[in-house]
Amino acid sequence: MNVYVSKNGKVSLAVGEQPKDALLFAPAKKSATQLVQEDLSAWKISNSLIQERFAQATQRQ
Amino acid sequence: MAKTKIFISSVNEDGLKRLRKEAFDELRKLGHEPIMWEENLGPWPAHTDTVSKCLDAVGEADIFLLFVGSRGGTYYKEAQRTVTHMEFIQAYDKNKTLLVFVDTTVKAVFFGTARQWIDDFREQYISEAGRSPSADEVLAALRHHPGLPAHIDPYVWFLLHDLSVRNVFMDDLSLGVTIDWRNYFSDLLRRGSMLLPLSRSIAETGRRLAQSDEAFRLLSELISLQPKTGGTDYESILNAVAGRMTGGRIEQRYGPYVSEKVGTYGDCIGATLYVREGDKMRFVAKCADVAWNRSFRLDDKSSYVALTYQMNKDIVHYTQSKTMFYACFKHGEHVLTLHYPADPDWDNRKYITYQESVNDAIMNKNPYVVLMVKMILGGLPT
Repeated sequence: MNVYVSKNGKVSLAVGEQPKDALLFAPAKKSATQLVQEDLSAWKISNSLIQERFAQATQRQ
Repeated sequence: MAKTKIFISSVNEDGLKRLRKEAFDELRKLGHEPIMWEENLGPWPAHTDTVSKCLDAVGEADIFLLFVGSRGGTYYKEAQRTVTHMEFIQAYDKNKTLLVFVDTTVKAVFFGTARQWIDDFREQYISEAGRSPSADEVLAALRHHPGLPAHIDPYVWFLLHDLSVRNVFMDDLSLGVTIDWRNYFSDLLRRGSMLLPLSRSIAETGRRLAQSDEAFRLLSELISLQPKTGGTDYESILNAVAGRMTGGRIEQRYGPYVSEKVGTYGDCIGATLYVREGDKMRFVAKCADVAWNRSFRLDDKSSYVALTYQMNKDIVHYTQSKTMFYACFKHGEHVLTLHYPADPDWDNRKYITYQESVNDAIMNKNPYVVLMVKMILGGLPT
């Protein structure tokens, strides 16, 4: 991901050495809402797997 | 390589002696490490507390194997339990794998008569005395039960009742019929093998539960901070949020398996909140001693608040001269900034190299908490 630098009133890609007082930043790839939605979906799938496996493993044959 | 330790427990009664010995020998032949009082546990050295020794051995075992016949075993008045029963309680409490075999005749009487009778007795006792009956009282009543076989020790019913209350499965034990341990343990291995690959899913579920719990606690606190007279106490909200945002490790991940620490960041030392008004970001509130301006122009490229609003994304900013990370969250017209001290090892070059790790550590540490804070400050997510 690209890192940007804000200096002298301008924003540009941070290439090479940067002054100590420069403001560096890189936007997050995903918002908290996206992360939570993805995490909840993964959680649901994971829980199904756990429950399914435990049901099979504890079934007496 | 570690062997499976199997504690073999039962009352020392004639009918079970051969079975216990066979189980011990067979399990050892199969490569396991059986533990049994008369074979390799015993009252050594002299003056050993034998009960404690048994309970310690149960605690060290992986599997607790229990045979139940018609005898109850040595009853300890002070504990109100037999040694065998205490061994079972220890195994249950320590979450051991429990393998319980009960004589088929005993089992049939228990499920046919004794279990329900004990349930009814306890219920009636509680309604009359206002407390649960002691083991002595249950056993005394069982001794006078005319429908239970006299040759079976009443304690057996008491023990089996405890097992059934705890939902412990009881396998059939036919005295005189050899148990095929090879097949039994092969099946156990099959069942265990189905669960081992779940370890990562279970660990992930634990992590998510911890994050959700943290978010729920914060949400509860934030709701309690809302003034009853209306309006929003932003400063209190920022204080509550900043107080919960802890620092931590910044790790470089190499796929899902390996990661290494590349630095740390400190606990959140303060926060600011701005809202857009026309072409400016207007100061709303702050907590702790952090720098703030009355407003920033939206086109002010030196302001992380204005930059975050303009880019319409959550962003971590860094300045080497202040050794500080600024985590900026945009939601609706608001920008919330949390100030985290960077450890002194960070500089511009290191930030450029590891900026994804920084984002991951600070922004993604608990997205549930971030979402809650956004909802409180700026309404439901869009």
